[in-house]
Amino acid sequence: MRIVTTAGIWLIRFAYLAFALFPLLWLLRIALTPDQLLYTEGTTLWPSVITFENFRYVIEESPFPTYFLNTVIVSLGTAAIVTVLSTGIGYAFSRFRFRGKTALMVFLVITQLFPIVMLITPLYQILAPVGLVDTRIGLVVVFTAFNLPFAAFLMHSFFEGIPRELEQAAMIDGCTRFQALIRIILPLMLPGVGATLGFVFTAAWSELLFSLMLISSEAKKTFAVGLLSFVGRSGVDWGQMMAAATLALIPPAIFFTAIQKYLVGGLTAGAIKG
Amino acid sequence: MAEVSLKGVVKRFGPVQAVHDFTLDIAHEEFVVFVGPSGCGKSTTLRMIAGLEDISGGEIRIGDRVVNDLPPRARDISMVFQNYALYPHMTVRDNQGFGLKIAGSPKSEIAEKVGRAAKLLGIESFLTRKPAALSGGQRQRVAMGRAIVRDPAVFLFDEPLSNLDAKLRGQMRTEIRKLHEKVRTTVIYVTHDQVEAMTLADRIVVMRDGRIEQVGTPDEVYHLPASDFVAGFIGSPPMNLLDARTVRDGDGLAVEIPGGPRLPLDPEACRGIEPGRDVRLGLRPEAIAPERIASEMRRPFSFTADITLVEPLGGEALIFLEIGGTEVTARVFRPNTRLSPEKDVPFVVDLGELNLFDPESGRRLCGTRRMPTQ
Repeated sequence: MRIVTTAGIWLIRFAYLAFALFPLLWLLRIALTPDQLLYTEGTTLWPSVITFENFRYVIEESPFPTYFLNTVIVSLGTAAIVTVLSTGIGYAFSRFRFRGKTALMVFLVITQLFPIVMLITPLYQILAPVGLVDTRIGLVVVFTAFNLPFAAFLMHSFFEGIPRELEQAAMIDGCTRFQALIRIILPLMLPGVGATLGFVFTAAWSELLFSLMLISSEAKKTFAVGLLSFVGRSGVDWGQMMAAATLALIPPAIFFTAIQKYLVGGLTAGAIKG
Repeated sequence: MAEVSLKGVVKRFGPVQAVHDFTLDIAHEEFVVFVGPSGCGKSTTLRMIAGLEDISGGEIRIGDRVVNDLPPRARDISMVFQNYALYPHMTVRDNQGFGLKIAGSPKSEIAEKVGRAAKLLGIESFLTRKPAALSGGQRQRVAMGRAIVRDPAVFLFDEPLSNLDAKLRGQMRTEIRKLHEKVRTTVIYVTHDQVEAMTLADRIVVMRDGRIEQVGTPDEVYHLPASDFVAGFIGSPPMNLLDARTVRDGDGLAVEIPGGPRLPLDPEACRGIEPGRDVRLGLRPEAIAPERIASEMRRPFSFTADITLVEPLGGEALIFLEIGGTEVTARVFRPNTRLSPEKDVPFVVDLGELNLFDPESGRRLCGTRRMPTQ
């Protein structure tokens, strides 16, 4: 009976994995398929001949490395700034009583209610006079503004999960509030920090709309905008586009591999009763 | 020397006043227990002493310093929390040494003090483990170790045993008492468990609704409760409380239970109480016993009553009897005869264990127990 259950569970896991990873397989398959075979081989799972020509073209001849670098700068910048700010905001919301706290939290939720498309024109109007249109800093500012409320809520809920007694114990043990935060609370917040970094990084990495509207020069484009350049007047260059997309997946994959141990919670186990 | 003194301490949370005019002096090396039902303000008071809550009024002194506005780290205290609050990412050794490390003590000194505390508490074998790998009792010991290591002027305990099972709680209670014998320091201990209060305290502070109800030694609080609340809160089973009336009894005074016996009162202890007054009579369960198995009493007085139920508990038995229509609990120790419900059983009550309370205010009017110190 137990064997059947175990087998069933693995079957479900496998089915889920196959479903989730299939688009990635397809991405890779098309990137590796020579152009002339793309339409002749139909829907076979793997091409009879593979080629790295698309990857070579994307890396050596297209402006993709520039896009790529821009995206890394913008995404990492946004993720770092949002994480630092949301840590402060989440801590304040979780640990301090102050006038207008509830109103402020409600206000943060309200900012999430507007369709982003509505805000593009006003945002352009605001950024243009200060010279932030068509700059990477402009993108970082905009991404930070849009990701901060959710990240703050995320961090708030992580702070709520950490017993107040821990920092109180630290403060009795001789720490200032700031020392207690740095030495006791933040090490336990690594899953929260990891989750927030991951969430914001991914959001910034794959953002298209603002990048498309605010960036016009080739040298500042992010890869999401860059991918569109593979859509030509005469058609779509599927092989190169998929090769570029595959390459674009690598940094988030590395990033998540690096932070995954912090995403798995359980660090606070043993802090309190149990 | 670390006396702790609270003068008129008040705590308000918005419109709610959690602690009213709390005044208490705690002597150096004294073990004081704050006890009371949940929400009585005992933990809030402790947290104000710790500096974890601001005070809304009054003055708190530790030693010769007013600490009202000092942060917790500057108060020379250590605290054991109900949920232990061990730092989960540090080993037991680092948990214990954390306070000294923050204070900048040299490594050799930290190692020596941590080692000494670990030996005292029997936790040497798991200094390299993290809190998650410890049982509840072990975590409790580590939390105490962390408190001892810093050698503070005052120890604060906030319901440290409430997360442990009954057996372990008993063991740890004994250990805390032994620890206090070894590490002579002022201790303030908060609990809702009256057994802990009775066994640990030099002095008990009974609290109710943010006010001090009574301060006294365990004996005083037990035998001469300041109010019917204390009488009902301390002791298990609690003191029996019966509606009664004072009457003239020859030259002296007696208390009469409607439909029950008339008990003569010690004229000296109950001086000033006029006859014809409604009172509540308080009787500890062990002040009543069936005559044939009664152990020695100071001033026995006989009456008859019906036994309605007997609960044998091994070393003792609880006997439920009816006096004037009210159910009363009697407790007898090592009963050597089998008891069962029966009618018209001769009982004795110890007249040296009576307490009279005002039915309106609940305050004690008089108590006939003579305390050794009185």
